[in-house]
Amino acid sequence: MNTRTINVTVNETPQQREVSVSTALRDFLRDDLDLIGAKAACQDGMCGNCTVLVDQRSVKSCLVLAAETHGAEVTTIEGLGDRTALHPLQRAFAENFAAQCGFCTAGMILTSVELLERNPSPTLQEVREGLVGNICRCTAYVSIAEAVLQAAAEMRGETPGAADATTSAGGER
Amino acid sequence: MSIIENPSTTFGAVRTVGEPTAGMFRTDGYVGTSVPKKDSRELVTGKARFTSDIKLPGLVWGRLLRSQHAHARITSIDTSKAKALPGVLDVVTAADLVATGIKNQYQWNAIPDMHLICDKAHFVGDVIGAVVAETEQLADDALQLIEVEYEVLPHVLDAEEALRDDAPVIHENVPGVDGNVLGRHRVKVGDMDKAMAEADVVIKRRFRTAKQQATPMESHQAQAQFDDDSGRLTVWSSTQYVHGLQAQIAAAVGLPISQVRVIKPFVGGGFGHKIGMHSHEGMAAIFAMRIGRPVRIAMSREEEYFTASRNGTICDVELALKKDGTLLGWKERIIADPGGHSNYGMAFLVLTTSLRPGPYNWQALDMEAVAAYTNKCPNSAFRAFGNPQATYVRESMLSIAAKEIGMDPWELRVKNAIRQEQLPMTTMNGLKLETLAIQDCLREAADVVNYKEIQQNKPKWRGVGVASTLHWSSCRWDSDLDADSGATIVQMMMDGSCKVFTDAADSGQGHTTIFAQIVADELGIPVDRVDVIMADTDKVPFGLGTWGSRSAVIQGTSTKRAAANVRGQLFNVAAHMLEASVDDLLIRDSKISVAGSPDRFVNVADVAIAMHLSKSKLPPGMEAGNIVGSATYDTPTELPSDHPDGIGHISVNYQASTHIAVVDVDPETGDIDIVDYGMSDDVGRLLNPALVKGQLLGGFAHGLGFAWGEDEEFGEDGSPLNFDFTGYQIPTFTDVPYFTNDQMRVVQTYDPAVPDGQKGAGEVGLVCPAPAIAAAVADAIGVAITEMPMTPAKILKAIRERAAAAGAPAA
Repeated sequence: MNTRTINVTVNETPQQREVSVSTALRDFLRDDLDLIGAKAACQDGMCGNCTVLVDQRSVKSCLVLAAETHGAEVTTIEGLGDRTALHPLQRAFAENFAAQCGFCTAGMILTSVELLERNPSPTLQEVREGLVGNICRCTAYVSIAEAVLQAAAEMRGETPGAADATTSAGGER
Repeated sequence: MSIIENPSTTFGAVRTVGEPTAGMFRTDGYVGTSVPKKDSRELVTGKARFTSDIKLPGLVWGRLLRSQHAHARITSIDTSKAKALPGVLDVVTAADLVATGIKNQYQWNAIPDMHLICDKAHFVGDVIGAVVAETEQLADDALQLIEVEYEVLPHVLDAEEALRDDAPVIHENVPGVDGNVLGRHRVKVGDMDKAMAEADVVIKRRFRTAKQQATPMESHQAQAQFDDDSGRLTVWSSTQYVHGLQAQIAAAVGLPISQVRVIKPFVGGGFGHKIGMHSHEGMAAIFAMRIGRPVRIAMSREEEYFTASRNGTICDVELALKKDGTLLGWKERIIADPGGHSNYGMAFLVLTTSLRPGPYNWQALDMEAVAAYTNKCPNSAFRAFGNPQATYVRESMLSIAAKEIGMDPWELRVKNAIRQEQLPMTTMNGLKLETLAIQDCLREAADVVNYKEIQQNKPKWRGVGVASTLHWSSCRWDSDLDADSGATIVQMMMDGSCKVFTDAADSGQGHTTIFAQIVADELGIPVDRVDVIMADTDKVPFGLGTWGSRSAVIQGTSTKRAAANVRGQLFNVAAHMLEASVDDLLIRDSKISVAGSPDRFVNVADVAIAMHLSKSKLPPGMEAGNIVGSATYDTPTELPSDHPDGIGHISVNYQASTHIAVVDVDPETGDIDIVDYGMSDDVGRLLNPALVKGQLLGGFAHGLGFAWGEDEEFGEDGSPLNFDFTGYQIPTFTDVPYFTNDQMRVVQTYDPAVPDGQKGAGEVGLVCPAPAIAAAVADAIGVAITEMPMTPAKILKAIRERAAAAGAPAA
């Protein structure tokens, strides 16, 4: 088996591991490090359920080779918040009933981390467009959008606010 | 986390029709409030373990060999090269299973046509072998090395063609199967001749409905482990019904049920597709026993599409009505396409016909339903099983009829829908209704979108569509399953906290939270002192699991009964301690007190510890010990298959729903834009408004997919064309309209059939979107599309055909 030794920092912990050159980052995280928050709902980057952050950018970890992350910093859902305090996005998802079955939740939250990093004051429409690569089959996305907007307000230091209720129902095909 | 006290902050409005029976339930407790979902924290931190997140030491991988042909006999299958590959641990065919005493055929299926591994291919993707190897990659490699020789047979992909005399027969020598007909169901009530004779208008149409796939984010997965020393088999599966799976696996492998443990870990969506045993579950168990290693078999996304889907249907309808809009007769022939195996094909026929009449008054019904095998992947139960097709056809017909007689489509529904003053009533097809606020749902949904105003001021290419439905809370079909039960055990600990054990199988709906609310209210303790354990056959009592909008009602009621039993035991002791009568006791705020004398009380925890450890504090002669209340609940419902007219009271109570869609159609592209949408639902008493909202909205998104494009597609040779997320597109974040609270209104009823007054809520949201959107598109473009899904291409074609017809010279 063709392998490489990689040095990668995962959730602030340096790891030195030997990985097969064909192993996807998702499988490395799940199988080698038991970081099972990244989920496998497809194999081709279409669902977003395996999203993690590599050097603060969201990636679909099924489409990235573990070997490519040599020298990088990887953040998974397990790396957000700590035992005493959830990350504001995690808390907002929990408070807004944004996790039903929860299979897509980690990917949604990590994509939102990057979204809010780039745009701390997104509009509802910007949230919807920013998360278009993450599929959820349970929620119809409404509670997820509400959660991201609530977390954004909180992270800006504002009182947690409700979603922009003036935007009418309109979904482009 | 805060609890939302007022349900109207969750919905645009919550109106209540009727009063609860006096003393029916507490109104000052947790039930009725949006207690945060108990498993939220595990889900947002990524700690929640789903089946394939459970790491078993020595785990190996199984894979299923699937047929490359739609219909073929297997003339030879050579596994020797696969077996010789280093790292391959076992390879089996149907013959191998039979030779080793495995019961390859599924048990408790009305039609004995289902096998773990088939010796004939009934569709592209049918399971014809299985391998297990040290790694997933090796298992895949082994599949490639199995040499199969097929005798390819003529195939049939259309259920109507499958009924022809010259159609290839897909299942030969299966008892009860006649040609390709796996079953029929007939509903015939009222005087159809009279209805037809009295009708001013009889409208005939043909409809086709799509083969949608539930597409849970977590595909079907299973792991199994067999322990030689104890003789115990443990199976972890992404399933909705652990006791059914336990019994089926036990029968297959020949173990007593007591030696088989099925555990449902976190489940990433079930939607009906995860009821019953599937090949991967049975084969994981068989391999685990054969090789003595823990085995995982996980469906790829492509395999997920092979595993289960919604029945396609072809429906020929005749609707008889008067010019004033009075509905008279509904006559229909339904051809259902269950695919290559029966699965729940018979149940579908009974259920879809039971819901066909909807929430309306009729004078005659005549429905003939037949299910015909085709060489496509099999159907399964799927969220609102049978109702999406029923309601799409019925509501589309009502909209067509309204146009034909020049009546407003909403008025037509108001005129015929069941009215409050008719209740309680038994409908023409035997449904016993105590509550059904359909008239209120019609009014509320119209109010959301300013119905009258928008109907009068529609720009070109804008349309408005109305749809209503009635839906069950659990359901009955035929004697294949002559029960409707759920069960709960409530155990109070020494400190007054509680453990709750139930067969219900939460896959995101939030039952864990609802049951904790119910127990907390019955026992007067904080909701966070109630821990709910679900769907592990070593721990929970027998029941029928979670499907069909049943668990909040069925296990909700068994939970209430079990908790009430515990309360009775506590009161017996508290009455002795307080020297009071049991009838005078109240339980609130962790105290049991004497009504009218709040300072005469004893703490729940003091009663609990006394009952465990202090016999001297108990009534004379009472033994100390465990505090356990156990209850089942089975509904007073009927099997339509037992009735000569094919009808019956299939559910303990019934929900009502109206959706109104306002849609703009782009005449250049056929795209649709939902510009406004109103939904109103009667789902009984709201146990947890925020959880109900999540179910109604999630149902809408599923229904939107059903409306506009989700359909498993097949090439002429039966090969699947779109079995991945690129080809089979489910609604994304920007596809689903963003609903504001104002667009959702609830009409709350207190249904007296169950003590908390609730109805199911998990499915009904899916039912009305397709017909409402289809009717809105028809209104916009001037012609109804009667073949689902309603893709932009079909819309464009309809627009162009209509324009051509209008421009064509008169013949």
